Amino acid sequence: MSYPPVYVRLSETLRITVLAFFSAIIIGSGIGLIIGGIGVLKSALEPYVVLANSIPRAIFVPLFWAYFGVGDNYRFFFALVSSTIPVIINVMYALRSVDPQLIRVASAFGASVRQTYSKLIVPTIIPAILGAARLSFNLAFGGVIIAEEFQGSFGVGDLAVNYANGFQSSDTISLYSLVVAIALIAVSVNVALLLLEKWYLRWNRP
Amino acid sequence: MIVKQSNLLQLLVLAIILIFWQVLPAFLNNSYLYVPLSSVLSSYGSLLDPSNQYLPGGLLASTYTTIYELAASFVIAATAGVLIGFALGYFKLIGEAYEPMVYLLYSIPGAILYPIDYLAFGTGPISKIIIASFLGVFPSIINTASGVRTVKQSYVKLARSVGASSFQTFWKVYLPAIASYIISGLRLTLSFVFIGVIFAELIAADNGLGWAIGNLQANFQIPGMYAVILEVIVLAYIFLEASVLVERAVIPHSRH
Repeated sequence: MSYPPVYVRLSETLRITVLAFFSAIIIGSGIGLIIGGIGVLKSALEPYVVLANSIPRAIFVPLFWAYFGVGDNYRFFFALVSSTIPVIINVMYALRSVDPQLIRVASAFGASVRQTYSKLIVPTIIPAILGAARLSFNLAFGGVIIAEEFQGSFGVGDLAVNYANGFQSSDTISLYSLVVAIALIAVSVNVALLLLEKWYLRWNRP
Repeated sequence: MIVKQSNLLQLLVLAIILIFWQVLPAFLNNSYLYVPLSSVLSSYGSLLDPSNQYLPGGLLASTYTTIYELAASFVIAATAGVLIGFALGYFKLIGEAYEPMVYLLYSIPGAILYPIDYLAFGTGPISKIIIASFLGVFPSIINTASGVRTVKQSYVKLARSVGASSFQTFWKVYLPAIASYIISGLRLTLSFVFIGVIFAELIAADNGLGWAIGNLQANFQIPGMYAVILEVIVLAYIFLEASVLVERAVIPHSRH
């Protein structure tokens, strides 16, 4: 079996992760706004969204594998689905925290729907999205890696399992260095997202 | 009994999902992948048979393995999480020194650690308990530590000044104040531990529900795969409801 070099695999994994992460932020905010904004939908769907958040997402990996088979779609859609849910939840609950009195004041002063959204709703949900961003990234990254570990792809998850099944000391050393590299990437992205969140909320610091 | 309007709406959503699951596969041109609910439910009969060739031991054995791994990891993660969290919150120096480290470890994807874990501890239950405890310990640490920091020092001083021992201070002052934090941490810990156990079983295992799902899919037993997925979702629902009930029982005045 010929291996592509590690950096090729790493960039594959990261490419899918980043794609899934940004799609999750956009789609999750959209779904969160729809569910949180429409009262009927919220009371009908809220328990299902909460349940979806506590289901071990790994059970859907074989399902996605059966649907999409080899290729990017399998990893991308699994990572997308598992990382969208925290964004939906945060946006949904953030909408509830918008003070209804402020909305009434806005409409009393003749604000259009667009103005209400841009001045009231968006400033409330952006911190919620930023709060979900770290969890969402971790789920996307972990999701891509789990999918790769389950069935053949050309990413790092697959490589790690190959190393673990190699039973040679050189493989074990490679496995450890791969894990350290992944951990460093995950930690630095998390720190960057945390700094972004702090920078955005800098006016709010006690 | 008064049924709330929102509950009716929720049941309606469930009914629509189940009806679509039953009806829609007939219109989709792929009877291998899209399986109606009735054949998923009828596959439980052969899954429960211990001599099922695709699921040695049957569904009950896999469920037992998963529950056993789940219970062991939850006890370990909960105990360690509350103790470490208390230490981080109570001793200011330890908290300042090690709390950033907890956050850094928390952000490492557990998926990449699992190959090392099963290389070291094999594919049996031990490796699942280790990875799931590791994943589940963080929410308890973080919640307990932030709970301890909210306890007013004047209460502690008051307790001390009326001669309470440190055990009494812990039992009468700290514990009631941080109970709600601990419980919501434990809820997350349960959910994380379940996630860890299932994903570890999926990647490398010799028994358990995650292993059953992967194994049935690999043997083209798609209705059986859906059946086990459905079982895990029902288990997740039971755990969620049970933890809400426990939370309500322990903290009568919680925000729910």
